[in-house]
Amino acid sequence: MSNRPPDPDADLVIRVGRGDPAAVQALMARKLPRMLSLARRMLGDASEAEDVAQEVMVRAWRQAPTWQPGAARFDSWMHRVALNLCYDRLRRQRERPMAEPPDQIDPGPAPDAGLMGMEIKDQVEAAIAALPERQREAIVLCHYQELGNIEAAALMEISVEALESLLSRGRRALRLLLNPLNNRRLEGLA
Amino acid sequence: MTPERFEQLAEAYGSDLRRWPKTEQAKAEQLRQERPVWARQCLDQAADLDDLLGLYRVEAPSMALRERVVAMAPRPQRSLLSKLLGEWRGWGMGLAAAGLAGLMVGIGSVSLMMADQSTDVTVASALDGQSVYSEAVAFGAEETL
Repeated sequence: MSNRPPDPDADLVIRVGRGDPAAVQALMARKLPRMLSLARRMLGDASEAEDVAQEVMVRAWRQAPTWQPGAARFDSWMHRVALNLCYDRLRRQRERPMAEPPDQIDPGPAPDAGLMGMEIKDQVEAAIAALPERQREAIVLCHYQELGNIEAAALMEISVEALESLLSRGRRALRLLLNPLNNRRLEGLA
Repeated sequence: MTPERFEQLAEAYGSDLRRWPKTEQAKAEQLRQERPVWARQCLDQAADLDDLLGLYRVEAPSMALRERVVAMAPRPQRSLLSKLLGEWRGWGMGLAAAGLAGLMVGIGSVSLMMADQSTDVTVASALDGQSVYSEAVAFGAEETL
């Protein structure tokens, strides 16, 4: 007998597998915004995030008729698919040849300096995009997707201690990037 | 729980204890009650960053995206009866198509046969005319000669 709590999506997924239109609508309402948010924050691009979210949902539709409750939570499985798709795209972005390799270090302002002229929410978005991928993934999974530490660590295939380290470093980096912004915000509230 | 561990957890998971590891939440809550001023300072720092992170909201899925996703969803499974009816409908359509094709072939064949017959008559008439003409020419020639 497993001590694992029951999968809250299990019944819905079984009904989707039978082609129940109401279940299709319910699962989409529950998961599509979640997958879109994950992809958007991982990739930093609205259009690519839509593609990823759509692909995850299509794979969920395909998976539903043969889904076996108990093996893994359906939400975890969807996160795994979404993260793989995001990493495929991030890898392709890295491998894409640059039109003209830079001859010298860009003399322009540092990336964080560019944050100052943006709206606050855009600055936060840019700061998250500037994080190393694994720190960003840890923060997206734990803070935004609200996954537990064990589930997030399992998805990232790391220990809970390693996850905590990534979270701490990520949050410290964000605090440094957003600190002037935070001070201004607090001044505005005072 | 030590104060150092409390700080580590706030640094990693933020100011909301509900986001902290479930196994450590009760002990953290106990420490917070024991040292409220210190704990408040510790959590306030984390809360500032949490508030900023909360500003990064993602737009809801567009109608177009939702429509594309639903269009690819599984269709309702049909019952055995409706499947059989569906198959019968398929067979009926097939039979009707085959019948129609047979009818068209039949009509075509009859038309061809009739066309053949009329051609034969025409050719025969032509040949007959030719022979009459030949005979007449031969006759005239004989007369002329």
